[in-house]
Amino acid sequence: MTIPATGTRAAPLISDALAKAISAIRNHNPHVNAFTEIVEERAATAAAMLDRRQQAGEQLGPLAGVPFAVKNMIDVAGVRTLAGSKVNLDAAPAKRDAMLVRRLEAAGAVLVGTLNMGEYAYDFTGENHHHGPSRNPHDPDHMSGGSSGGSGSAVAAGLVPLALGSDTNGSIRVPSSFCGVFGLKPTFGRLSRAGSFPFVASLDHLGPIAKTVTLLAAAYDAMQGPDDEDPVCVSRPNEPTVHSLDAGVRGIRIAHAGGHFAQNATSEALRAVAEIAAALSATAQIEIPRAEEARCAAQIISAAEGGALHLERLRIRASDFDPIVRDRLQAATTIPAVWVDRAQRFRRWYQRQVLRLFEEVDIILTPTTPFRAPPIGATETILDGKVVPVRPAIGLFTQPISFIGLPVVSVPLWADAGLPLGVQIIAAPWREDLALRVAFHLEKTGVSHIRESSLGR
Amino acid sequence: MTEQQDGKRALAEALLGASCAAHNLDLSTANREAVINNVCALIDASGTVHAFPLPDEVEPANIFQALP
Repeated sequence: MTIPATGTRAAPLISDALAKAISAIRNHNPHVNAFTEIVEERAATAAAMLDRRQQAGEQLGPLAGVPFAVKNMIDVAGVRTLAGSKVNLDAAPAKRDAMLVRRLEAAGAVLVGTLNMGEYAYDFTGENHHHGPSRNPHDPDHMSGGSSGGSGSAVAAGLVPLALGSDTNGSIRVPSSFCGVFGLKPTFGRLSRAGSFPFVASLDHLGPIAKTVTLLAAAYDAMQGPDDEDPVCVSRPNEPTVHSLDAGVRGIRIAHAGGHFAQNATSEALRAVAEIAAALSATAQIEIPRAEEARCAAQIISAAEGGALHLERLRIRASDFDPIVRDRLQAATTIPAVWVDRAQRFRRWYQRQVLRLFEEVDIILTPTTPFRAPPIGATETILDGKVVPVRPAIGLFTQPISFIGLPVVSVPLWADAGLPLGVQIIAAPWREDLALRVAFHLEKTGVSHIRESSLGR
Repeated sequence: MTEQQDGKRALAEALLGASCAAHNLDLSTANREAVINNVCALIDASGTVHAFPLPDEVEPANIFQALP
């Protein structure tokens, strides 16, 4: 299946289309601050090569000519992997591309640049102290979501149809929700993380954000495969998803989650889930047990591993961190080992309980975020009548899911003229195909779709 | 401030002091109050996890074991 990019396949030459795409990025990126670097020469070379192969009658890959960009914690040869930091400005440029970049290019996609992000991925807002916030294309005064804020922003602004992000506690799904695009956090261990700057090794995932479900699935298919350089990447055979996207949702058992996932959310977020459930004729409700404990355990593990990872930088470069990130990482260095052990033991218990739910259902629906994108700089919000800090509240519904590695597609909903909201379509491990099928059905029936912003283009 | 909050803050101060000593961390550039607040949030999170009665036989999650 060949995936049409934003007009590139209709153009007489891939090179011409790519040149126009890069010109548009140069013109419109200043509105959203999504890109950290544009790799124009590399893109031109790759596009010219594709043109030559096409003219020679070669069959091009399924993503031929699709421009894509990657969160700037994923290695691109010749580019500094900043990971949103000031400290990494002193690092040497990456010597080679990350595995997922190589796999997307092998499928014909063309890398056009790297993307803004929250410092060291310890972020839910898309704000960046050093490089400025990536902005929400649907309202530039509002957050793009983090930490893959540039990825969500670039796709929503129409600058690229496909981007890569990372997701430790929600960093693909949150920008997808705030910016109104499709995002996939695959099963833990499915996609290689080799060549990416780590945050929490035991929770980190990489995955795609895209303007359509078909493109999301095609990119996911192209990136599957074992990789000895990532010790948690599985050797499981590839399980392509594109061919089954249009198989419909009949026979798929779908329920929405109550309890934790029906509280601490705005009425708009709960209505978004209700709208998706109604569109899927899903009336069943289930309860994911102990989700709040799961969120807390994910918080402990994230802080402990993140604090340990950055300890040396905290010792010698503390003043070069974003103050908010630095204060959190310094706090993280205090965590006693027994807290982490308890959190990891709870993780195993919780995983078993949640996996049992998939004996009764195939798909679970929850809000992606408890609210729409807050204004940039907001520090507090109101949930269930209580004033709560914004940053941790953003991850209320994403953390308990990534904590046990389940695959999730976040689909965008536009309830009114306001900003979008995402709904999580959660499947059992390795059943990305089901989550993508449901997402495709929602897109095909017009329930879920992206809305091109006028800002970035 | 309640007695419980006092206790939590004292624990946060003690943990931070121990960490700075153990890891040779200099907090002179930090917002000390913000760091303490963050430690207090971690104490709360750990308290929530510890309050759940986990059976002794449950082993820690193993990230190198692929999901079933």
